[in-house]
Amino acid sequence: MGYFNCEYTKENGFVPSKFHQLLWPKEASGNKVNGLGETEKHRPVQSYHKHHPFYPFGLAEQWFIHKCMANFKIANWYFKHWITENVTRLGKIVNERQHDTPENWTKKIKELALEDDDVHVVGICRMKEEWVYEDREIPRGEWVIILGRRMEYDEFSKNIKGDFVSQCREVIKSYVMGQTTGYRVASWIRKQGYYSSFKGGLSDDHSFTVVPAAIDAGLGQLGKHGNLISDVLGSAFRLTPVLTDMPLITDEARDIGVDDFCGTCQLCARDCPADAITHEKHMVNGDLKWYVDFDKCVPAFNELYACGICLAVCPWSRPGVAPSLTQKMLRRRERKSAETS
Amino acid sequence: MTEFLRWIIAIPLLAVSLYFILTNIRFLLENFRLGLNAGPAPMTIMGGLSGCLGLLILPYMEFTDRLALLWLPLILDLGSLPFYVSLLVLTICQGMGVRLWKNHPDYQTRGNT
Repeated sequence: MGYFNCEYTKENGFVPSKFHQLLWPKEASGNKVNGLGETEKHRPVQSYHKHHPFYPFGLAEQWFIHKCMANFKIANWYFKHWITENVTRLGKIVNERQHDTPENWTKKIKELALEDDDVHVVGICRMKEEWVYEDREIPRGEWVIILGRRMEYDEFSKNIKGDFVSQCREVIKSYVMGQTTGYRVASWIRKQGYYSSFKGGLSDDHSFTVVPAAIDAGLGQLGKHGNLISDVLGSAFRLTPVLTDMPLITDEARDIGVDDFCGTCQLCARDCPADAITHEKHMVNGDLKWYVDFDKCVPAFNELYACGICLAVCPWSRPGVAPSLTQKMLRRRERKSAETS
Repeated sequence: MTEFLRWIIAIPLLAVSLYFILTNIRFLLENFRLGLNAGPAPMTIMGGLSGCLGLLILPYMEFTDRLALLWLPLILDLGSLPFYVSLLVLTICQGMGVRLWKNHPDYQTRGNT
C-alpha cells in the first residue's frame, strides 16, 4: 500500500491508501445517516455525492472526483455531463397547453424516449414524499418518468480484470446518454405546455432518491448488491429521472424473483473487494431490505474508480440473461407454491 | 499577424475564464440557498487556468506586467485557489482529528433502533 495508492488483490482484498485513510472522517458513519437498524420510517438524508467538500465525507469524495478527472477517458464524459447540466437550457413552457388522454401521453413519451436507442427501458410512477431528502422541498411534478440505459457489458466488466477506468468511463458515458434523452423528453413535454424538469444521473442536486422511484415505476427490484435488477437489463444499467405534471399512466412495481435469486447467490458478496455485502437483509429506515455497508463500500468506490465489481459479477448483468433468468425464477416460484398447496 | 492571432486566442480564453468565475459564484450562492446540501458542483481549475493562459497570450501590456496579474483569475475563480486552499485546510483539520461538522447527521444516531 502506498501513500496515494490503495492495495487490491483478489487474494488479500482491499486496503485504502494512507491518504484516503487520512481523509476519511473518524466516528462518522454513512450507515447511521442511511438509517441502518432503524425501525421507524423517516425521509432520507443524503449521505454522499454532495459534490462539495464541506461535510464529513466531502474530502474523500473530492479525492474520488479528482482521481477521475485526472484521467482523460473519464473527464471527457464528465465534462459533457457538466455542459448538458449547466449550459444547455430547457425551453420555456409553452403557454397554450395541448390536451390528450393520459394513455396517449404515456405512449408518446415512451416512444420518444426509446426512439434513439440511448435509453432502453422507461417506467412511470407518482412522486412520493418519502423519497425526498429530509432537508429538501418536495419538487414540482406529480409524475416521475424513469429512464434506464444499459451499459456495455464488455466495457463495464473490464473491472473484473482490474481495468476500473474503463468501467468508470462506461458508467459516466451511460449517465450522459441517459441525460441526453432526459433533456429531449423534458423539452418535448414543455413544448406541449406542461411543466418538466430533469437531472442527469450524475447531477449534483437531485432532491430525491431515484432507486425507490424506479422500483415503483416497475423497472426492477433491489438486489443483494444494493442496486436495481431489471428483468430486461439486469444489473448493469443507469437511471435518469424526469419530473412532470403532464397526466400519465403509472406502471406498477413488479416482483421478478430477485429476492429468491439473491437469497442463494453469493457472487457479489464473495467478490466485493471491501467485504461490504452481506447475505442477510437489514432493517434500514423502517424497511427490511438488502443493504450494502456504506462505511466499507465507499472507500473502495473512491479508490477503485467507482469499483462496480458487484454489478459486473452479478449473473443478471450478462447480456441476454436477465429475461430468461426472470422467467426461470418465476416458474420455480410457481412450482414451489403448487407443491406447498 | 502574430498579434492578431494572439488576440484571437486570448479573448476566448479570457471569456471562458470569466464564464467559470461567474458560474462558480452563482453555484456558491445556490449552495448557500440549499444549505450546503448537494447544490451544483464548482467547475474546478478551468476558470483559473484559462484566465492565466489568456493573460499570458494577450498582446497587451508588458509581459512582466501580465505575469504579475496571474494571481487574479486564480483568486477570482472560486473553483481554483479558494477551492484548493479550503481542501488543504480541511485536510489538515481532518488529519488533526478536528470534527468540523460534529453536529452533522453523519455523526449522529437517528430515530429508533
